[in-house]
Amino acid sequence: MISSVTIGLALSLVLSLGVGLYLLAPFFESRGGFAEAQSVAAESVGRLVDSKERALRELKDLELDFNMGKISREDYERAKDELSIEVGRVLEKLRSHG
Amino acid sequence: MIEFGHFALCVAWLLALLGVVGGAYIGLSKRPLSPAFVEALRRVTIGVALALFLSLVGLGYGFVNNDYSIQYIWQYSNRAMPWIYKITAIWGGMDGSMLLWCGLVAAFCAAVARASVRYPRPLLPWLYAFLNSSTLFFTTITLFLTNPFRYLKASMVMPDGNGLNPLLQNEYMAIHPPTLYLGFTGLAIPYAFCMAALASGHMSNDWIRLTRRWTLIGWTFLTAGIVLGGHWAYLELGWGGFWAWDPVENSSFLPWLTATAFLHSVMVQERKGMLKTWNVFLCVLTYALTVFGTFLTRSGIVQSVHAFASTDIGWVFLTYLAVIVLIAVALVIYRRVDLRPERSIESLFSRETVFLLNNLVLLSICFAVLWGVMFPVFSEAFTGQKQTVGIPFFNAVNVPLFLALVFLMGVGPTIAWRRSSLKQMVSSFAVPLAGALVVAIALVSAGMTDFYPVLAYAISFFVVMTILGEVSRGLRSQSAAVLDGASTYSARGLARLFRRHRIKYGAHIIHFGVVMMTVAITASMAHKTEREFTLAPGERFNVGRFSLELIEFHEEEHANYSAVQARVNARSLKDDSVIAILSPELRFYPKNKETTTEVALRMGQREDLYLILAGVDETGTKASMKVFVNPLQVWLWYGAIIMVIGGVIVAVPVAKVSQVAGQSKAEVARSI
Amino acid sequence: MGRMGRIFISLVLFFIVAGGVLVYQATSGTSALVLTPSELVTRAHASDLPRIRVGGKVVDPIEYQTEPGFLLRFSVSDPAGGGSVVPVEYRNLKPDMFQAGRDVLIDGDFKGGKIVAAKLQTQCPSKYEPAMPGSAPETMADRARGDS
Repeated sequence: MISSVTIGLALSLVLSLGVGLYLLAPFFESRGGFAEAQSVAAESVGRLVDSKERALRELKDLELDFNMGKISREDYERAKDELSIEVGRVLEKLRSHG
Repeated sequence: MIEFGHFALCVAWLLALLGVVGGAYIGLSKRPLSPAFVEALRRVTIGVALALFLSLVGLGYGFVNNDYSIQYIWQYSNRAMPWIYKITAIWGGMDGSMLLWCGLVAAFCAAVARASVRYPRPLLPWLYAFLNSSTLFFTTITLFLTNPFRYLKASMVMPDGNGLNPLLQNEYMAIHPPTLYLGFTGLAIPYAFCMAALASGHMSNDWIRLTRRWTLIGWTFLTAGIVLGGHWAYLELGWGGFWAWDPVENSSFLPWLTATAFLHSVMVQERKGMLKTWNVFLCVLTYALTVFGTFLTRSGIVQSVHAFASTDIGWVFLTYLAVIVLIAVALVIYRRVDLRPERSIESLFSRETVFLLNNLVLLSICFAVLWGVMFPVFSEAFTGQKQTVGIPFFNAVNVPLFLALVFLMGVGPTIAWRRSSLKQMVSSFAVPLAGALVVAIALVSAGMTDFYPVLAYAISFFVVMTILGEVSRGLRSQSAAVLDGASTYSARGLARLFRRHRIKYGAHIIHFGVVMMTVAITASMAHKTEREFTLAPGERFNVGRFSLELIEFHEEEHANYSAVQARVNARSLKDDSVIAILSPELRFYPKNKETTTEVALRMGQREDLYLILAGVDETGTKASMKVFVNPLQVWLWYGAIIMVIGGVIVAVPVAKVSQVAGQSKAEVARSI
Repeated sequence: MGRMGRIFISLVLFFIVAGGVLVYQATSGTSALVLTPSELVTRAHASDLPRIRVGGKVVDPIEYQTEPGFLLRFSVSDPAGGGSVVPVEYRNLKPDMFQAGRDVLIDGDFKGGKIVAAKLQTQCPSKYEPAMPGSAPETMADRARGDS
């Protein structure tokens, strides 16, 4: 009859080896799982894409608010023009990065 | 096996330390990120969770196998307990509950680590560092200060344990603490994202989007955990209530308030690029409050019936809190340029303004509750005499603030983003406001003269009307073409509306749940009936619309307790039909020499009938009882369920418009 | 600072001031002195003292009647045991787990040499730390002392 302590010791050994192998494996594998390191330029592209998405989301909200009758046509048209100009500016900057 | 559990805890601690040190080292390093190191860190984070799971299994094994050589197992278990209660006894005391906390926070970190292959690369080392920092702190406490694997100091091998207190041998013990802890630990994730964004400088909206979803998950669990606790107290404790503003109850409520504020203000940041520093503050404050809450429970600094016996680990928590705050302040200063707002609020009459007001009200409630909790400490420090405040204080301050919050709940989703014209606002709010006024007048005419209940009902009506108005306007905004022949107000139209604007209408569901809870709390607090009476078999007592008839009472013997049980018919006063048969009990547990009451509860849509057997007279011929009639009580639990459903609906991820993470510049250019 | 900025600063200040007034009024109107039984006896000097919270250990004898009306009478000593013992009267249902040696929190007034309790709570059982086993069989007194 194997004692509980022996089982515990065996399990501890298995855990130690298993964790060790699991952690060291990436250093022996050919790389996969993560994209290339991002440069500073890619960081600013990210911010521009954020601005684009923010403006697009605002446009979507604006359209919903107008369709639901919460804002006047005048306010809707004015805000839509402003947002469209902003999206255009961001797209221009993104093209210059690309 | 118990030794294995202890060993696994040590492994977890070492891995968490490795995660923090490794993540910080790579984050601070100027060299390009090595994919192998980053992957190793990800695996470390997952490994911590695995090790802590095994540690919990080890402790659980000891409980199930009655290993009374371990002090903690002896304290909280005995042979007579069913195995399910032996499992729940793992978190019955402080040591095991800390281990559970560790396991759950690590599980959340592992879930994030698994998903992190898709996250922005520069964020990752610091993300893993901060994720593991939370686990490291709690495993340090558990391993070195509150170790559940300590051996029992006894001169002989104990044949049996002390046992879990009978009041805790209850199914709620299986669900309330884990759910609550899932809420607390889930709120460590947004903190890690926030700090990682500041530390790495990757400040784009990715972290906000990711943070919001994880905050929702933690918030939903915390909501469920808080309500489960209230429900358990209501069922078990026999005082007819569900919330006592106890310091430990409040400590779960505080992070809930700030997390709610964060979930709203983060929407302003996503749209306007504003409130960045404010959102960092809320994120850090929420996490700090979860740590503070567990500090309150374990330090003995304030008196609470829920607090653990006073220990000397309070200073460790305070030190950690100071470290959290200092690191956050340093990072905010370091990144102050990136935290500048990009836009400003254009109009007072806009959703952005209402969300800001919502934040101010929530933070006001938070600080008022914190003041109430810490008042004994402050009063003693400043005046030398310890004073305290109780339920009357919390009600006096929080009732008006909560009503203001509920009112804002009706205004915020209805008003437009950016700017609403006066004309549009009148058309949106005129009918709901008029309806609320009518309700108020009707209630006063019917004899209800208390100001706050009337106001609460009127505001609740206002909010429901605004929600219905939003749904109606949303349905009408859908053109016939997209409905493909279905009518405007059809189920298909509703389904499409909810699908396309899931977050907006999911939020409406949550708000509706809040309104239900508001009405239920108002009714059960303002119109509760409480009576004491003594009956002989065959006699009756009238209360509310019920006539309570005592049929009989008798003694019973069970395995580990004896009881007196009464049988009471609750009859309708109108037609004398039996609405319910109630069997309240008075139990005596000889092992601990403790007496408990088992409430007999009849939950109804109109009211709860809540009956407690207080005792039997000396002659043994009469039974004394106490009854509560709590109007609309069940709607509180329904409202909570609806809130949780709404939270799940909003938290489910959708496809993004575009993603920066993992995309090369060429891919981004192609997407334009 | 723009117009909106000034408006928001004003709003924040309004909340701070209004909130402060609300909290101050509620605190001064409802706060209670926190005392042990010994401190209560010293402070009260045999006169009445309204709005107190006393934490202590339940001491025998305990009298409980449910007819006519609920009435629980007991005494309370300092949390660490010993010290002054103050009688308590509570006209409500006896709380669960209530017994001699249990820690309790009492909210009420000190009148006529006794605490007239409006609220009585016993320590939540999940946080009750039982005594460690000694070489002799345990007694309830051992448990009640809660020594670790």
